[in-house]
Amino acid sequence: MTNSIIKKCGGRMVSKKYIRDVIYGFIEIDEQEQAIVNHPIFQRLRRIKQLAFTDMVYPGACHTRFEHSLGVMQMATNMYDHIMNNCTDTIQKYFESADFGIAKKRFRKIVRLAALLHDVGHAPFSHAGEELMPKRSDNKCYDHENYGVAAIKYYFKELIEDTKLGHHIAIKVTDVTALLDKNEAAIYGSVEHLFFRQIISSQIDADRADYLLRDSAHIGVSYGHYDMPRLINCLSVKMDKTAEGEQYGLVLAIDRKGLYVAESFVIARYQMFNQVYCHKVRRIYDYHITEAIKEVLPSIGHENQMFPPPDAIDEYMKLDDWTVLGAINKNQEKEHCKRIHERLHYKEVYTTKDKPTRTDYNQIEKLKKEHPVHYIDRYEKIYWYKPDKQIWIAEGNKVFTLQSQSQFIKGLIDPNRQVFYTPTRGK
Amino acid sequence: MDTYRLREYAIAHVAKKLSGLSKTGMMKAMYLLQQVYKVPLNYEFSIYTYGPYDVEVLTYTDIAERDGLVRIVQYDLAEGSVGYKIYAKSSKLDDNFPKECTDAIDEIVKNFQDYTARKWELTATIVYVYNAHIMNGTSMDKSTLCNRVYELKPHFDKSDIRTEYDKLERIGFLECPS
Repeated sequence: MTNSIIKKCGGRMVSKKYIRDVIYGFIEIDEQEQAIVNHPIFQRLRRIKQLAFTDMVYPGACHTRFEHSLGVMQMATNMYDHIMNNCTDTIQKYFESADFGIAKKRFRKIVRLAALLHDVGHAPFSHAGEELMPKRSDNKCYDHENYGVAAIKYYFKELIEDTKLGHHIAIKVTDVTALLDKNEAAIYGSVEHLFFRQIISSQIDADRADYLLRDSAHIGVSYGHYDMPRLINCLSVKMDKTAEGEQYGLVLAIDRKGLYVAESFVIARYQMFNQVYCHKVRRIYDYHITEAIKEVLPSIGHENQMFPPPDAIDEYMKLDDWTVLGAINKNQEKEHCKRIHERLHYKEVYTTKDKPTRTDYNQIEKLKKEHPVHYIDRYEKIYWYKPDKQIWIAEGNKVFTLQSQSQFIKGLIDPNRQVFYTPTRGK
Repeated sequence: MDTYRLREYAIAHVAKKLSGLSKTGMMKAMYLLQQVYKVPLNYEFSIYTYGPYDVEVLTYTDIAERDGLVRIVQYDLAEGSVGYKIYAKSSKLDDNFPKECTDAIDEIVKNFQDYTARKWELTATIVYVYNAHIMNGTSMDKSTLCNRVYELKPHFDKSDIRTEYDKLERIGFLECPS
């Protein structure tokens, strides 16, 4: 952190700090945010790389969830400030708050904290580790948001609810978790929480708005760049109406004049998906690291080869990239640990079209017989990416989806290709 | 039938039985099919200002249109907004569509066929809030549940929320201690 300054705020002296950042220049954080950032659980994010083993293809991809979390807080703040200052009438009418000025300050803080903490529950090696999360009572696997909620409630409740640190703005920990998790939103949220969730999690959220720029900057590619100031300036808030013309819901939209920046945002993510996040070498390392973590988990106290569930959050938080890499280093005789250690990753021998044809499927079946040891990466299982065609575009009183306004975006197809890998490239 | 085909055909079957259903109605019908009738559509519904929502439902509606199963018609609404109606296009649907899914769709048609988008939104939100509490292991009575829904959706009258709750309880979608 650099440039600590003291300012007078609400009758008392407040220390603010400025952190140098590759995207925003400086990110301002107040005392409460400093206390959260300094917490060992937040510092753990320094030990989780943003893009797992993408650095095996792009050596610059060594940045972490730590700087991304700070970046999302800044991006979310920029988005929040823009809509609250430019769409005041629409928002004020919808929320019907007794004191809009106080509500505005309070939700600014809630949005900042939710953005700052949105990735605190990530597993080692980010999404690659998520396959090792145990099952919930509804038979679906836990996700990093479930761990995030558990961590925020367990470690950060006191800091979040400390009104002295929080400049006398009363916030409950559930105000923050309601922006991050769907069930928390239903149990603890209000109409305001449901609206501001769109800044944290939607097709035009602060998370993807930050990581596209940040990943591109670190990796040294241009695919993920879009016109950030233009995107923020074109953010708008509109009331969507039902067929009967009744009030339906307040949506975060992009003004019609920003149609092209919306297109470029979607294209940027599409390009990054195809050329970076799903590069064939990065994807096979996701497979190897998942298998390697399974191999080493028993040696670090997790016999069932799964991460501990969120109700054992202390145990889960001991795991990060460093602990896993240390265990891999000690277990080099194991199949996938050795492959990672010696860079003996499986090789791609066949890739289908984005929408596989009958010929593609036949070829995959043939290869399965020829190569008993293989791995097939099925893109349809990548839950975190689909082209963002449903971004709302606002024109006058109307709200449209982006794909209805742009043939270019409508033409993007969901990537359902399959990639066949074998231990050696031999045909 | 795999998940992806099941999603596409569930949309087509609902469009056939609820001709001209709105996109909102389709979204909430898919939510109820999955949540209440346990049809394995594998969507990840989340709650927003417009109720339970997973963008994937819209994606699969488009896929169903692309594959010639449904037709989506855009039309102008009051005050300049735009709406969409979904119609079945193909009279012959997949014979392998599971019977339990067809039965579940018939139940939904029976209970909600005259619903407006606004009523779909309310129904699905009540079920969502109820299930979130169940998942969380939090017990609540009818009054608490209805108040919770009102906090999330203050544009609905409290009496409308209670009336809809009573209907959902009557048809066995939920049950809170009184």
